[in-house]
Amino acid sequence: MMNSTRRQFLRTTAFGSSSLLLQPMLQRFKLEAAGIERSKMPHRFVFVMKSSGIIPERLEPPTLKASIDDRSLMVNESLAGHDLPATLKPLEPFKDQVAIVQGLSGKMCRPGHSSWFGAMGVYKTGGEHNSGVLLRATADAELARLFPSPFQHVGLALRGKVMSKEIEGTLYPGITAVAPGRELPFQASPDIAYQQLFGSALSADEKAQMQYDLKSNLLDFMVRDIGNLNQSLPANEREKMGHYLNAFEELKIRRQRLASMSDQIRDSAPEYSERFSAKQNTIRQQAHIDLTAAALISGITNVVTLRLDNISTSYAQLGLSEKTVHGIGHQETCNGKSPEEARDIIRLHHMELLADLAAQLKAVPEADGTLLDNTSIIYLSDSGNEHHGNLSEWPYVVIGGNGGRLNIAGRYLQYPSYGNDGHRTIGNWWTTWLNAFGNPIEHYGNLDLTLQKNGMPQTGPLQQLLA
Amino acid sequence: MHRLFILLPLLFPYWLGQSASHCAAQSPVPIVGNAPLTNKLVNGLLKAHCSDCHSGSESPGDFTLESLNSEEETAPEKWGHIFHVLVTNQMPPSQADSFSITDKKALVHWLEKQLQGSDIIREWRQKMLYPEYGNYVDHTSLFDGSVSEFAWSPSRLWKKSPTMFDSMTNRGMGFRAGQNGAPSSELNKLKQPFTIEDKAGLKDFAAITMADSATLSTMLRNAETLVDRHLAQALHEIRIASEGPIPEDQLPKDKKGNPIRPRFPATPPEFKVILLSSTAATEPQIKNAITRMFQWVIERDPTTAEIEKYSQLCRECTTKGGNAEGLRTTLLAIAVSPPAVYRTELGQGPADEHGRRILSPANLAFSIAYALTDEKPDNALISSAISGKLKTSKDVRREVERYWDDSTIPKPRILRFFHEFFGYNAAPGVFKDTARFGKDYRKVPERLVEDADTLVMHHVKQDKNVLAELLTTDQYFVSHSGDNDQEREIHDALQEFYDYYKDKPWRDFPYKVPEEHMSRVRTIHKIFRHANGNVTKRWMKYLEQCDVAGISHMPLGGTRSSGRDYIHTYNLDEKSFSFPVTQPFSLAPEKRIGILMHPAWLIAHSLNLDNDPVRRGKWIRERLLADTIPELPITVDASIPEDHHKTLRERFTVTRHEDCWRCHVKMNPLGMPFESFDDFGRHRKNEKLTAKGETKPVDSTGELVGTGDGELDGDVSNPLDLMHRLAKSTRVRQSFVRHAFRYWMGRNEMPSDSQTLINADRAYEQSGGSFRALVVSLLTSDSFLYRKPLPQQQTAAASSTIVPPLASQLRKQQQ
Repeated sequence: MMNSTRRQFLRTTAFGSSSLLLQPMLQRFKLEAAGIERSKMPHRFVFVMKSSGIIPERLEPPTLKASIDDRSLMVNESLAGHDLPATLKPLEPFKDQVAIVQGLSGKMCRPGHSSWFGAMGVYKTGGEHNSGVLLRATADAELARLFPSPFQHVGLALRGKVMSKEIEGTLYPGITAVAPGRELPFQASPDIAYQQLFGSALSADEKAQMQYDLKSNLLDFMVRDIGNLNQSLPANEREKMGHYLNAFEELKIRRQRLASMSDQIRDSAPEYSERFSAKQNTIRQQAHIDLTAAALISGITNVVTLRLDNISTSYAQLGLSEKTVHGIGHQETCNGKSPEEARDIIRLHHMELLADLAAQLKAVPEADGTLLDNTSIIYLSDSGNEHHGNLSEWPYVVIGGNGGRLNIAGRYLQYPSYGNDGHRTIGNWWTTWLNAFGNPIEHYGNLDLTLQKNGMPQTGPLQQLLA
Repeated sequence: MHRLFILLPLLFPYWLGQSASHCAAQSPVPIVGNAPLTNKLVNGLLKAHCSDCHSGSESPGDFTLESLNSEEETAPEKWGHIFHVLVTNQMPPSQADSFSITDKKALVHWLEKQLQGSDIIREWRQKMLYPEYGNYVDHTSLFDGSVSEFAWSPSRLWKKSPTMFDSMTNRGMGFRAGQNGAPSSELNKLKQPFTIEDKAGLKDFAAITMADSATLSTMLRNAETLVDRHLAQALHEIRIASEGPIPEDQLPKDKKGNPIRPRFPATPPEFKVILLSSTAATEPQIKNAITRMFQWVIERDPTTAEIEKYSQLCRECTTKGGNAEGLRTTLLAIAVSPPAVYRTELGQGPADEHGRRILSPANLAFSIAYALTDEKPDNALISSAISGKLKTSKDVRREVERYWDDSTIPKPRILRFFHEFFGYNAAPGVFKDTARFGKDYRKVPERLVEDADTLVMHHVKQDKNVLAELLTTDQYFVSHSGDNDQEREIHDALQEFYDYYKDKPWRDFPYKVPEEHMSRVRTIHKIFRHANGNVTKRWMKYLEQCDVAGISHMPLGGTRSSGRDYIHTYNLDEKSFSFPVTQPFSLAPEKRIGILMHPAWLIAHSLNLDNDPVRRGKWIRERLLADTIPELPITVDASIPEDHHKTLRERFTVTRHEDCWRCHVKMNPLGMPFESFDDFGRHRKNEKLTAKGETKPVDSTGELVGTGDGELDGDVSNPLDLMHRLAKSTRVRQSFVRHAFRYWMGRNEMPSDSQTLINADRAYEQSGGSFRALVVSLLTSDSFLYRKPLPQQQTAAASSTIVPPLASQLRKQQQ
C-alpha cells in the first residue's frame, strides 16, 4: 500500500504536476477561444504494459460477483453503484470513465512470460528471451498512425525485454512495432526523455535560431549523402542504411512541426529537476507518467506506450525487496507477503500512477470537457492473464472518455469464456479500437485456428462496444 | 495464390493412394539420393519417416499426415509445422529411425521452396541470424568435408560496438585521455549510442544490429557536446575580445567567495584558425579541420571525395551563419555520418570466379584491429595497408600474429570471447542473500570473476590445449594477478612493511603517520606512498593475524583491497588459508576442476536461491556439444514444486513427465553432476534441505550423450568425470571452434564456411590446442577476407518496410 509519505516523496522528488498544468490550461483556453471544436481534437492513447499478467479475478468488483460468476455468459454491467475492486480504488474518482474488460482470449499469441509483439499485434512470435518477428505494426502504432503528431509515438520503459536488466538509455522491449520489421525504440532514462521531448523549444535566442537553421542544412545534407551512399550498397544493406536515413527524415519533419508549436511546448514542459536522474523504480515510473502527461498536454505526441515494468523489476520501495516480479510470479512469498498480496500491492501502485495520470489530463479543459474525455489509457499485460499467461483470457482496464467513440466508459464487460458461444478474442478487441478511431480494417491480427476449426466466428469488431 | 495451395492437390493423391505400411524403421539410406525432389518422393519420405506415429486418430502432437489434405484450411500451417520440427531437430524423435542427412536436407529444401514468402520461412530466416540459433546449422556437414564451396561473408555494414565507443571516449577524441578505462573528463556527458542487448552468449552480430532514430538522436546529442566543447575556448576568446572580460560580480563564486573564471580545454589549432579569422576560411584550412574531425570520430583520414563534400557543406553554412557556425555544422555532420556509425565491409576490385571480392587493404586493417582490440589500427598496420603490404592472406597472418604477440597492445576482445562463451562474468548479476552465504557477499562475485579471468588469460598465455585445460585443470588462481613476479614483489613488500612496524607503536598512530616511519616505508614499495595511520593499522592488524596463525598473507593493498571472505566459495577458510604467492596452485583436485566448477561459473548459472541444473545442462548441450534444445514449451509452468524434505534432484523428478522429458533429457543429466556444489559454488557432500536441520547425501551422477563417440558417451559418476570426457571429445572441440568463428566473424556459420571451420579446427588440433593458432586461422580464412552480396531473399534483419514508403507517409501526414 502506498502510504502518504511515499506519495509525497514521489511528488516532490519527481516533478510536481501542478506547475505544468497551469500553462497548458491557458493554452487550451486559447484553443477554445480560437473556436476549435472537440470533434476536431485528436484522440490520445496511453498504452500501459505491465509484466507478469493480470489475474482476471482480481479485477472483479465484489458486488458484481453473483452476476459474473457464470463465465460462459456475456456480462455488460454499469460500474455505477458498485465498488471497484480493492486494488482499483485509486480510480474511484474517475469511475464513470473506467472500463474493465474481461474474457477475451489471445491464444493466437505466444503464451509464457511474454507474448512480445503479439500482445498488441495479435500473432505468435518470439521465444523465452528473443522478441521474435515484427510481422506487422502493432495496434498501438496503428492507432498512432491515425493521429499524427511530431513525435508520432513515444515509448517510455522502466526496463527492456521481459527478463532484461537494462535500465538506462534506449531499450527495445519487444512490444511495439511501428511497421513490419521496425521496432519502436523506448527511452528508459527520464532525463534523456525530457531532453528529447522538450529540449528543442527550451532555448530560443538568436544563436539558437541560427543553429536551428543550420541544422536544417545538416539534415538536408545527410539525407542527400546517405541517399547517394545507398546506391553503392548491396540490396540487403541498403535496407539497413535505410533505417538510418529514415531517422534523418523523421527528424527533419518533426523539427518542422515542433517549430510551429514551440510556444505550446514551452508552456507545457515540466521544469527540469535533478530528480529526473533518480534510480528508484517507483520514482522513475512517476517520472514517466509525468512526462507522458506533459507530452500529451503539449500536443507533441498523441500516443505513448509505457512499459511499466518487467519481470526482473524489484519493487523494494513498496516493501517488496526480497523478490523480483519474476519470483512473485512463480508463487514465492516476498517480505512475508503471499504472492497474491504482493501482486495486489504492485497493482495498487500501478493504479495510483494511472489515477495520477488521469488527474493530470482531467485538469486540462478541452472543448466542452477535459483532455481525459479525448484520451484512452489502456492497461494490460504482455502475458495476458497470468505470469505464464495461457491467454485464455486477456484482461484490460481502460480509463478515459474514449472520445465518446466506444460504449465502454463506466462499465464492466465480460465476454463468454473460451469455447462458449459469443466468445471473442483480442483480435476483435483491437479491431474495435481501430474501427472506432478511423481505420476500417475488417479484422486485425491472426485468427485462433482452434476456434476457427470449431466454426466459431472471430472476425470483425465487438459491435456492442462501438458507439 | 500461395504455391503450396497449388501443389497440395497434386501431392495429396500420392499420399492417399499408397499404403502407409512401409515402415521407416528400415534405414537411413537416402530415399532421395541426388535426384531433385518430386511430389512423389516427398510423399515417400513422409510415409517412410512419419507415418508410423502420425497416422490415424491417436497421432501425437495433434498432427496427422491426413490433415495435410489440401482442402483443410489449416494445411499450409501444418506444412509449416513440418518444416519447423525438421529444422529445429524436434522430429524425428531420437529413438526413432532418423533421416539420412541427404533426405532431410532435400525435404527441408523442398519445403522452404514451397513455403517461400510465408511467415514461417521469414521467421526462421530471421532467427537464423541470431547467435542462439547458430547450432541449427548442421554440424556434421560443416566438418565432414562434403562442402566444396569457397567461403565468404556477406557484404555488409556492421554497426560499431559499445566497446568501440567506450574506447574512443576513453582515448579522448581530442581531449585528455580518461583514467582506468573511464571516458575523458571532458566527455563524461556523452551517452552510449551503440547499445547491444545484454544477454548471455555471443552478442555482436552484424546482421542484427542497426542504427535507427534512437541511435541518431544520441549521436546528435553527443556530437553537439563534443564539438561545442572543442570550440568553447576559441569562442570565449572571441567574446572577450568583443565584449571585454566578464565582470567579476557576474562570475560564479567558490566556497570562499572567490570568482570562478571559466576554463576551457584549448581549441585545436585546425578549428581555432577558422574561428578567429575575420575572412572566410581557405580550402586548406577547411581540409585540415575536416581531417582532424575524421581522425577523432571516424579514426581515419577522409577520402578526397569526403573532403570535397564536407568542404562544400562548410562553405554553404559559413555563408549563412559565419565561420563559427559553418564550422560547427560541418563538424556535427561528420560526427553523425554513416562511417561514424557503421563499419563498411563490401570488398573491392573485380569479383573472383566465385563471385567474391576481397576486402580492401584499409578495410582489412580495421577488421584486424577490431578483431582483437576496440581501437583503430596501429601505425604499423596502417603503413602496411598504405604501402600495399596488406593484400593477401599471408599479409594478414603477419599482421594478426604481430598484434597477438605484442604484449603492449591491449587485446580486450580475447577475454571478452571467453566471457561470452563461458558466461561466468554474469555472476555479479545473480542476486544472492548474504545471510545464506554466512559472510559479507558484497563484491564476492566480482572477485570470483577476476579470479576466473586470471585463469582464462593464464591458459591463453600458456597456449597449450587451451579448451581442455580450461575444462579440466585442477590449478586455480585465488586473489592473484597472474603475474608471479609482481605478486612476489608485493608479498615481500608487505612482509617487510610488517617486519618494520611490528615492534613499533603502530596501534597509536594518528592519521598522519610520523615522517620518520613514512620516509622508511616509502622506500619499501610505492603502494605504501599514501599509507596513512588508518591504512597502516588495518594492514598491520591483518598481517599480524596472518603471522599469529602462521599463514602466508594474501597481497592486500595494490589493486585488490577488499577482504578475503570470498574464498569461502572455494571451500577455503579465511583463517587458515595460506596464500600461495606462486599461482596457479592445486586447490582440491579430487573435488573441483576446470572453469565449470569455478564458483564464478556456478554462480552465474544458478538461481537466486538454488542451483540451476537445467541452465547448466543447457549450457553444456549448446556450447560444448553444438546441439539444440527447443524453446521453452510455452504451455508449461516452468517451476519446480517446493518440498522441504526433498533434494533439488528429487524435486526435479517432475520433469520426467513424458512431455517435459523430451527436452529435459538433453539438459538435466548434464546439469545434475554439479549438484556436488551449492549455489555459491561451495563443494558439498550433503545437501541442506529447506526443512530445518535436514540433509541428504548429494547424488552427482549424470549421463553424457551427444559427443558422437561411444567411448565418451554414457553414465558419468560425477562432474569431474563429465569434464574429463567432454575435454576429450572432438565434437566439443569443434563446438568451441564454431563459437570462436561466430564471435570473430560476427555471424552464424553458413554451410559454405565449412572449409574455414575445418582449417581452424585442424590448426587448433595440430598446434597442440593453441588458441592463437585457432584465431589466426579464422582471421586469415576466406570467410574473414572475402565478401559477396547475399541473394536478396536471404536478408531478414532489416525491415521489409523500406525508406521511401515511410518518408512519403510522414510527408503525407504532415500535409
